[in-house]
Amino acid sequence: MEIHPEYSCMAGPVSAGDAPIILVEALEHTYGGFKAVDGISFSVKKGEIFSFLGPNGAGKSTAINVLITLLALQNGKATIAGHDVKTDPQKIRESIGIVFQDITLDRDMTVWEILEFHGRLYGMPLAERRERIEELLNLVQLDAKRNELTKKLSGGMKRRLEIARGLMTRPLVLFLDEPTIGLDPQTRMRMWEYIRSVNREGTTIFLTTHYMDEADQLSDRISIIDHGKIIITGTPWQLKNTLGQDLIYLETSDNPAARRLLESLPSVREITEKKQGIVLMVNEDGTRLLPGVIDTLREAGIAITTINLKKPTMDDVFVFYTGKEIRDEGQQPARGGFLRAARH
Amino acid sequence: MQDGFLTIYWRDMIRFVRFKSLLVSSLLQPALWLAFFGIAMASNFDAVMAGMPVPEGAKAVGYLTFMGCGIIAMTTLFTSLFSGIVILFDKNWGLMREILASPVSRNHIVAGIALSGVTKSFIQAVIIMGFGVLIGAAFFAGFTPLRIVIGIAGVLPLGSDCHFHGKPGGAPGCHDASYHADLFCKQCPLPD
Repeated sequence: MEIHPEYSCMAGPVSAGDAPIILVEALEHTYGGFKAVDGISFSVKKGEIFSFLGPNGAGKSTAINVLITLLALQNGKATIAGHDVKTDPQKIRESIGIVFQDITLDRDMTVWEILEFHGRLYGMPLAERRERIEELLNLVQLDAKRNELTKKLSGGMKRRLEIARGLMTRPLVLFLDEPTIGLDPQTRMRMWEYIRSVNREGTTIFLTTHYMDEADQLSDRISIIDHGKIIITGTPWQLKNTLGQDLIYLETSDNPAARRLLESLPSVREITEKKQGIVLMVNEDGTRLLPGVIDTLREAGIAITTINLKKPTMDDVFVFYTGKEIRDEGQQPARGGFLRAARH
Repeated sequence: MQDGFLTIYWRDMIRFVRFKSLLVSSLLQPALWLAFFGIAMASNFDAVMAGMPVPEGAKAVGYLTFMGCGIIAMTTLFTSLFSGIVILFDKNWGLMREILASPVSRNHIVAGIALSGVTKSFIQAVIIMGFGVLIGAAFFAGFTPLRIVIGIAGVLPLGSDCHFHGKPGGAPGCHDASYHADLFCKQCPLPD
């Protein structure tokens, strides 16, 4: 599902200046009998931060592994910077940087050696390599740790070093697979800052995450992905707006009656029924609408026991479109979601 | 890129020299083997063998020389084996993904690891030979200096089994490179 046609990858001819840097069409990947990626299509524009948001096991990493040429492309078509993933993996390897989901630093090498090794792997000339290492050590503030073995670094430092390594070769696209998994909140914030500053310098970022707030705050556009399929794509703002401007949660003495009654109100976009109450998605400012809602119910003789009003969050969007909460493996900061809370 | 194998080689050698205690023990151990086995048993065996006739065309060497070659072969074998296994560990720990996702050709990965294995076992062989000569082994007995040089130069690219020239009967050596390649192909199928 696409929100606006102009964001659709298939929408009309793209001008040369605005050509997508990643273009994926009907990508499928099957492990044994399990379809991990089930026909996804999307495009990423040059210079944007694009996120795959989905629970663990949704197929995000599989999709990334196909794009970075670590898994063979089975079905569909994918191009990065004009190079075909299937026929020209060498060109793609030269033009991308990757930060893997789990730490892939050699414990027995120093910070400087990790970067030097990476630069040499990609055939960077000596002078350029040395200069770039200094630049990156400054960027990720690991200058003082240059001769430290990586096993002595903290989790956040390791991640920063991996990001620096991913940037070593000035890639056109940087793939970040769950970049802040297992990091404390302060470190996550700083990591986001690094990612943003890297993006400002012109690197296109492709991110996967199962953190709602990360997708929400970092991305220019998000694709919500579950069971190997893209469910919806749009800017964080657009996604949240599909749920209306505000969400009103009500518990009343007669929920079905209240629902029928309120559905006729002009600003109410949609009403979903929860276990104990109902959630109104409304098109106008909820604070102004609320008195009218209360009056309507009171006139009909329906008593209100609980009332709550909030802006839709990415959690709400996710629950709305996937019909469930994210399957998390810990670390997800507890955040009260309306649609979520209502389900308990 | 034509020098990818040198990068792989460089990294593997860093790991080899990084930990001084491991490095020293890996270099001293073969020499100690030679000292224990060689010196302890040489006098006994030499005494036993002294009265036996030498077969036609064979060349009699001392027990220490005979033993030295065996120890070089054994050391080379194990060093080669463990150098190849590095790839397996890299793959299990996910470190290999960085290399696989880079433009370095797969052949260069194999070549780099094989080369570092050759280097390691060559260093060890040289130490054993030096130590062996010191305690009385006669490597390259009866060889002209030119033959020794040709012998060493000729086998260097394939593995450090130059020492077998000193072995009576010329037992076949173990080629490091083939060990690595074998290990690699069987255990670590790499995607293109």
